Amino acid sequence: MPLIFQYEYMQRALFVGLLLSVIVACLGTVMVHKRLSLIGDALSHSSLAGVALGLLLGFNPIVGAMAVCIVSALSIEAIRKKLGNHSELAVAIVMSTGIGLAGVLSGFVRSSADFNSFLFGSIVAISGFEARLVMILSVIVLLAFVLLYKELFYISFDEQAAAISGVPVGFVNAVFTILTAVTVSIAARTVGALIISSLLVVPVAAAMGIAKSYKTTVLWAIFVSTVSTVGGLTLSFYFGLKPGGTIVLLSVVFFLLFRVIGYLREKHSVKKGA
Amino acid sequence: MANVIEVENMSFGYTRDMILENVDFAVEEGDFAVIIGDNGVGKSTMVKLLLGAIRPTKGKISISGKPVTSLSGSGIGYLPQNGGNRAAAFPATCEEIVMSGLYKKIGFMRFPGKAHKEKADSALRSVGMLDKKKELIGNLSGGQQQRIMLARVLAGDPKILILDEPTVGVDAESVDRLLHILHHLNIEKKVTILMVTHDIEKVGPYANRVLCLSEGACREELLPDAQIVHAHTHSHPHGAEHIHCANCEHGSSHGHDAEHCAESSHCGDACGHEHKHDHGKEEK
Amino acid sequence: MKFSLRRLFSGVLAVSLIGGAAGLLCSCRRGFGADAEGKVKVVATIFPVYDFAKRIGGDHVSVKMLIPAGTEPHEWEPSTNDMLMLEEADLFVYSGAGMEPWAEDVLGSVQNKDLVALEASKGIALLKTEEVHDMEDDHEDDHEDEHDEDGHEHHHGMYDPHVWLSPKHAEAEMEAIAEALIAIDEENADYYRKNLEEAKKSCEELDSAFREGLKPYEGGYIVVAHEAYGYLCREYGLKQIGIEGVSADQEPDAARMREIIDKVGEYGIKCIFFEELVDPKVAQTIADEAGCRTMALSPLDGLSKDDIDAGRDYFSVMQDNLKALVSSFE
Repeated sequence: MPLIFQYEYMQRALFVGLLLSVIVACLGTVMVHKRLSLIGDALSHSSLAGVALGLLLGFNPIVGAMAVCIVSALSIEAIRKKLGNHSELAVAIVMSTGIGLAGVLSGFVRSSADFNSFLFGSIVAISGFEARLVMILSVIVLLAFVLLYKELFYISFDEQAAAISGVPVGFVNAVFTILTAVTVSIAARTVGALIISSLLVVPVAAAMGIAKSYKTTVLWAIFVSTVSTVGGLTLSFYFGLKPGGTIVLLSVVFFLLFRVIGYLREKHSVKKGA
Repeated sequence: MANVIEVENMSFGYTRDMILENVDFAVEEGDFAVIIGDNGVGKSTMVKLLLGAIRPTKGKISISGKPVTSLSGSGIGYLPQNGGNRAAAFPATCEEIVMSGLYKKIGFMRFPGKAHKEKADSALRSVGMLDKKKELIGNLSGGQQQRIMLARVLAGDPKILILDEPTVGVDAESVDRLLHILHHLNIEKKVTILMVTHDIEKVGPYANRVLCLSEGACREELLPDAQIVHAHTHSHPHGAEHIHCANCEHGSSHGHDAEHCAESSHCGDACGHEHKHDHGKEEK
Repeated sequence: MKFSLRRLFSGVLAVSLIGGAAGLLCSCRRGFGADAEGKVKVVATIFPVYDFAKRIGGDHVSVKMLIPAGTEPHEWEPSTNDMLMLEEADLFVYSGAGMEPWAEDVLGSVQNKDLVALEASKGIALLKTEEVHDMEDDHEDDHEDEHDEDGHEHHHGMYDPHVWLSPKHAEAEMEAIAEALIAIDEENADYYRKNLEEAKKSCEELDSAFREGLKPYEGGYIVVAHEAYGYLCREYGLKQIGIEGVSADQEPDAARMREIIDKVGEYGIKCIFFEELVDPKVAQTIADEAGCRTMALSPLDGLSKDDIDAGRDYFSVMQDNLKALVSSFE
């Protein structure tokens, strides 16, 4: 058995990392095409306000983070509709609110020890409870993604046309907004905000460089996301690199690589056509 | 024939200022109707109202006898303006996009079967794009993208088809092809077509009903237009039988309005102009 | 549902804004109150020097702690209110050796010409951060080079600043503070000297308690959240293995964790220490993997408000540390 599998924390890191990278790639495909690429950042910042709120009002900070994440995500969705062409502003507005709120509220938290312990996750330090939580979440998100694949495709492509065709746009949007919020709030605590907000976007951006259909975009995004996670963890394990940063950088390498491949292929086909 | 689209004494404004006021018109089953009018006169707003994206402030819109209350369920096909623009950056094949138009037939949370794939193929064939089925939509020309978007709409077998400025941003050849496809649908498949356009010269010959939208209050008015009728009789089996000038406030009371309109092939310009002119007089 | 959620959100926002405004008003009052009248006004940066100044100054000084209770000093920055407090103060005590990298900037921008600044750790033989690291293990492997490169010295510069964790150095810091107070307030020199003597005695007692308590475990290893215990280890012959380097706020890497887990097994270590102000998750993961316990060990750089309110001071926390250290070897 290779050394990397002999340690339980690495087994857990690989397992949880794989699950999260699959569902985050799926959610990312939806969010990127809704022009909400930065939703991961916004939500992970807002979740800090939820942690502070939980500590202040005396309920579980994870529940607080989840609740504030859901409220923030639904606010983004609501503001996005109002802003029309400037939908990306919705993310910025909610992110600012979240950061501001977290800043003010954290001033009232008596001990930063409590606060810190709910803010940061690290992929190499995952508790058994967190692993189980991620497993349940993954099943729900994957199921929702497969069952609503057709609806999500239609909404991402053309929300108005989808509504005219009778797609329950509001319902599907709400489901995915809530699932994204829950995923970000759990994952930020489990593997860290950096990994989660990057893997929502970069693998999808990489996939769009070479994919020849929507379906293959999803599959390539999952590929990039999982390979980056496993590769990053392996590099971290054998070469003493920080896991979060390594995973994110690997996915960026895929992005560059896929763009170059896409470019070369296009050039080639133009030549052939000429 | 029965009226499939009925707009009765309808007014709409986002604020207290009405964009559309007392609009009255009807489209019969099997019509090829065209809405023309100046820029900013409320054509796109009219489309949104017909689709149910916004609700009238006053009056009533019904489609197939039922009042329009929301976006979904009106059972109409809709081809948006510059439909291809959005598509260009979207990583999907033509087939995937046309399949999405089959949503109603496949059903919520269900998976498409073989029959649905065949249906998508036949929709692609009907717009002459079957060979591009596996292409990314972003790799196609503007006109081709538009035809894919049309195929998506047609896959749903709509009885009514609403098109918003389909001639904008597309090359002349593609416009001819599109109109040819629409004409075929109208005649062979008895699809009722309502098109918003400013390009009456191109579209007019195919239309049997022209609705002219301009500012102010509205009454439906019959405007025989020699030029358009002339064009139709020569080149097409059924063209504009009559033009309804919706929103032409003084259409009936001032005979010269009608004359002006009739003289010009750009009915919208004429009506709009005349109307403003009259308005100015009243204020004096 | 969406609507009511939105309402809830704006409700929460409103409440927190009002709360925030109230908080701002409260913090405006922070500073030396009326009861500081006639006393030496001292601003101390972190808990150890704050506690020492209070101990030496007693009734004749009013001491304010700059970094609020429960805050990790590495993450702190002075606010405008803190600057106002410094304008009022007579003495500014900071521990130094890189603990408060912002101290010099702050002193540079204070207008108060009468303010005396004291770096309490001045004159103590400081440990270089590389030395701290070398103490960890005798047979270093080549991983160590990488560790040093990836920013162990990020916050603290060249030296390990946690000098007070050795009672002898704590004594030296108290002496420096006493000198400064005497220079400012000669009238009460005897009072300060008397307090210093008492404190010195406590330090010596603490030192001998540590020496005796840890004697059986000389050469033993302790696994700690971050390498803050260099002075303590040097004094009492222990070796520390830090999950993190000298600064506490880095993400662990998978290789470092494996290394520690292996060492825990190799040396038969029974306990992983965590710090109250740092997330215990990593310590817990290592402990789970290696099959040992976790315990709190305080580096004292930031005590929680609850602890301060409960009257905890340098000596009582150090006694707890001693108990924890001893029990970790048992």
